[in-house]
Amino acid sequence: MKVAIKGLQSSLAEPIALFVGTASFEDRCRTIYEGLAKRPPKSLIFKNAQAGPNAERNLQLMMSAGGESAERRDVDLDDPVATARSLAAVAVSANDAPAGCIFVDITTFTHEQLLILYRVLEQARPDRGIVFGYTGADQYSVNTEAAGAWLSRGVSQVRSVLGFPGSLRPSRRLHLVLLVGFEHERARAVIEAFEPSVLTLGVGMQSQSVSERHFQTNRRFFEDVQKFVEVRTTLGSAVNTFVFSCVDPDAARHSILAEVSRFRDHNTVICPMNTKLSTLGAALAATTEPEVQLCYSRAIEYNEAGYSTPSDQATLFHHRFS
Amino acid sequence: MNSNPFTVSSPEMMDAAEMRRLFVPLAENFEIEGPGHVFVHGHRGCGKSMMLRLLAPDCKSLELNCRIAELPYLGLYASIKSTDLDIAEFERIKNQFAGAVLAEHSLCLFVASKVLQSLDEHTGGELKSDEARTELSAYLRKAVLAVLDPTDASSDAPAADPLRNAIEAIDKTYSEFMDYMRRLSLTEEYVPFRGRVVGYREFLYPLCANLTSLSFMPQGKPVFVLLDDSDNLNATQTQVLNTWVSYRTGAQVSFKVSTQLGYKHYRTSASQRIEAPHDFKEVNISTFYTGGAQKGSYPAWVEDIVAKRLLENGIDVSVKEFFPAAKEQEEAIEKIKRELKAKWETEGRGFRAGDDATRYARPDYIKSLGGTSKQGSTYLYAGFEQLVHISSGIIRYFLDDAASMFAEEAKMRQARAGQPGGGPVTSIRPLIQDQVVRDSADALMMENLDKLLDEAGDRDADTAVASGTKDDFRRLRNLIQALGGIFQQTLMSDRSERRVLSIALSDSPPDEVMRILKLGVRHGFLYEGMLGTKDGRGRTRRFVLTRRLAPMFKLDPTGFAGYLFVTSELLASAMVNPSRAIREFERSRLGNGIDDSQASLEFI
Repeated sequence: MKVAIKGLQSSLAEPIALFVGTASFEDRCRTIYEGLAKRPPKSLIFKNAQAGPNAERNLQLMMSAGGESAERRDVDLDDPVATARSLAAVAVSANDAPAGCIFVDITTFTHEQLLILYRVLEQARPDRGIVFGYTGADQYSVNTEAAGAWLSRGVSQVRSVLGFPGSLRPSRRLHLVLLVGFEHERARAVIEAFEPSVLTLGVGMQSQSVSERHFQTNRRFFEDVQKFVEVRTTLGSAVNTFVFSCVDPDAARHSILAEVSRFRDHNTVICPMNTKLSTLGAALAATTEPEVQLCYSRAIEYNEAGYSTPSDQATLFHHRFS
Repeated sequence: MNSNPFTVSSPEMMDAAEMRRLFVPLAENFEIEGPGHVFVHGHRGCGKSMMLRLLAPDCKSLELNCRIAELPYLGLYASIKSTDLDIAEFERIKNQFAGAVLAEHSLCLFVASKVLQSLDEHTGGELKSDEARTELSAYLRKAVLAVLDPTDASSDAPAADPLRNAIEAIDKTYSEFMDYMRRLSLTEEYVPFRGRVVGYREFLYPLCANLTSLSFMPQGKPVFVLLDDSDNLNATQTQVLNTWVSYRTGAQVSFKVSTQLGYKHYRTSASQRIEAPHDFKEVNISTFYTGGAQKGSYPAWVEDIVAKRLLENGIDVSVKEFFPAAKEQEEAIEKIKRELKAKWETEGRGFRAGDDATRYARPDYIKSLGGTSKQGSTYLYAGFEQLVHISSGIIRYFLDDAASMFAEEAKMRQARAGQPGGGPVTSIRPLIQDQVVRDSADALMMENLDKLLDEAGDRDADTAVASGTKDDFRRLRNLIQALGGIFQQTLMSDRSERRVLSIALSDSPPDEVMRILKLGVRHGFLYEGMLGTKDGRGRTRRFVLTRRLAPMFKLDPTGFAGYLFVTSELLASAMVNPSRAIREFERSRLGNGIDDSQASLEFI
């Protein structure tokens, strides 16, 4: 469900009892929080230990907006276990919060942290509704020409996501499902790290993209990855492609599971690299099929100066674990 | 359009016939086919996986034209992918005793499943006879099923597919372990493992060792477990493998372990170090072709590989015709060579007229294009010989660039012909060759090195030593920039040897400097070798800059290059401020008083 951020709170069926968000280098991280007409009784604001001054500035702004109800928590890009410990505070706070929903602004969590948070909530099963909110970007890579657009550079590590180890059978060949986003190099690094027997590349569905412009950009990056695979490697079979929803986690889950089911005799690893909403779709898929592993490619550098500009709309996904 | 002849397949996905069609044996087999543990180190794409895969029974029996029972050994291939074993959950138990036990348990199961899979896939139909099936069934019931489940009461009748049965039983036990790990994901509490645990001595070793007691196997011969990409093990799993290597079982079961120079450490579970040659033999393929007597065999090896691939794709031209040099450029260089030969009697520096022509013609040509200005970039890195040199002894680098060139050439032909297909690709125009290797050099320097810069973090001590810190990579980047700059200045100078791509250490460098040099070696920016000291009394280390960066720094990648003796002081300075180091070097070494003895040629 897409709503105008200024009317977001009134569109919710119940008040926000606990707000969870992250302060990143992108101003997008503040859009929903600052747009809330009424301050939530409790807010947990996470910040990456490695984040630079822009994130620190955004954190201060969010802490000011939250007042005494806002608590700062640190997460670590290089230590998923420490991150999980920190994110566990969400489950604890959910138990203590007054009546209302948990609102998770997923916009600027890393894919890995979002997946771990999902697993934390899934295990805690709070007896209340959870609303995941995502502010799309109006534009990406705003400090470059379209041809030189970049969001991140380099990949320092490709690793499984804590909480989603899958159950890979040693004797089986590997099926890698990549939800291609706007980061060609990260996608290449994942393919090179796994050298899969079967590769499935997903691209955002035109009618289910954040915007037509995003769809066109995503399509271009997708074709770059496809070209790289076709030129450089010979897989056991042709590259499979599929489309998925970038805005509806349930629909994305459905599309992903359809691809997983095509290669039942393979181990499947999914690497979500598109919107955070489709990453939630990957989490839903891996929860349905625990044999599937989720992986994450740790980027080295982000285009902090011009990563994105925020749109004035948010997409909401309502979920209940209990 | 013909299909791209240079795409790279993973060896585990190739059958024996394909392997045999495409693979050209390395000039040296490094004696890995003898009993005993071997570590084969090499950069990604240098041919390690192919080398291991060729030891599997299907390839070996095709090569020797014999039955599996007649093979000199039984090689069982097991590749380790990125997150096969090293899952994030291991962090939860890495410092616990249970961590070591479960690491051994999971590694045993993983390797057992892989070797039986290899036996299934790499033995053709030889294990499918009723006799073999009966024998194998009884063997696996005892060696696998009874160990994993002592209460197993399955029938004594031979299974329809005993290997598949055993593999599934192992995979099932492995899944139970993964279920346990999943339970650990987010809990801070102690969670006991309640399943049966297996170890090397009572499970994996007897399973492998006794395979060669079966009548259809090479009886009494050793078993090789071919573990590919062992860098993908985490530190605890590495410790387990080292412990297995430390057991003196090499005569019956030996591990042939490949690494991409990122093996975590050499400590065993008892904190002892395994060492070469005492515990294992060690081979480094990457340096093999970049130094030493085999230098000349690399171009011939690449030529054989390329010729096979062209033929396989119906391209009936020679390798040199397929990758032509830039004609006008080569003619201009030939002209300079003739002039140098003519002047040799009066102005020559080398022992023979040909020496001067070889040493100076190409550098003089590059220099004539405009020194360090942008015009220097009009030098074309094209022609099979230059491409081979640029690949720096790593076949994958050659093939990856060649694949991109082929795709670009096909696209251009298609565009010009105005129709799909556009005619078969029978050669790659020099401009395309040049552009691709320049792009690769840029990517290596700008993307790969920059990305490594951030590999710092909260690593444990084991991986920090192997991987380097952020500051280490910053220093390495500075060092590479400084060396590239110094070599470029040298090329543009009037010194007697200008084609310099390597340095030799004139003193013993401090640990700090050596660590950065080693980091450069590990990540493929430098190659390491040895040579005699200037005073002739000993040996010193030599580090060669990868020729892949030649286009980045406008260097001559061909032929025998000289080396520069440098001090640790210069290197330390280069690691902090490359521009200053280049200036310092230029001031003290490239003025009018050039000391020729500082850069003697390596005529190997």
